[in-house]
Amino acid sequence: MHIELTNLLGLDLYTTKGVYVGRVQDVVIESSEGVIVSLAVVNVNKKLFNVGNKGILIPYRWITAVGDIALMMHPMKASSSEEKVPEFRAGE
Amino acid sequence: MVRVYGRTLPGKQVMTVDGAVIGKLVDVQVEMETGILKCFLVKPEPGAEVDMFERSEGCVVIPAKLVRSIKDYIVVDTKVGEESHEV
Repeated sequence: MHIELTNLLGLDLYTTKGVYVGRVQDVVIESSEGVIVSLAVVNVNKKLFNVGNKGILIPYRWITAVGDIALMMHPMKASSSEEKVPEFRAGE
Repeated sequence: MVRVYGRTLPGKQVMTVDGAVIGKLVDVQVEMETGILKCFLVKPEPGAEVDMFERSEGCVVIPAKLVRSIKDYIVVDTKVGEESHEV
């Protein structure tokens, strides 16, 4: 299935268990390979990722579906509290 | 590893490796499952040579494999398409 890049921007991201993750602020593209490597997510649900007010970069391989909302794999319970995802500051 | 932000792409100037202007990027079609960029939708400048590309709703459709680089400009190698006739 094909989607358009601009449709990703501003989408709400949930896990496959229906838990809110955040809002897609931007898309990071590896230009030499022509592939989306991660989604920059802001307004992050602190119960899922404890990152304060910063955004997170979600690896695109975690994404399972994109439509009116986006879905990603639900993080494993054991690791969710210390899950290491790269952070970024909005506006970078 | 050169990374570009998707939000910066729409509106970027698209040109050929010969330096001819094609137009401005409108959007990029992406394979949802893999994140692979498939084709670039470009609004052509009046008079631009775009006969070799498919058209869709006023845009030309440029296969991503013809795109040589994405930096300040998006550079397209149109010669590849002429030789292989692949999309």
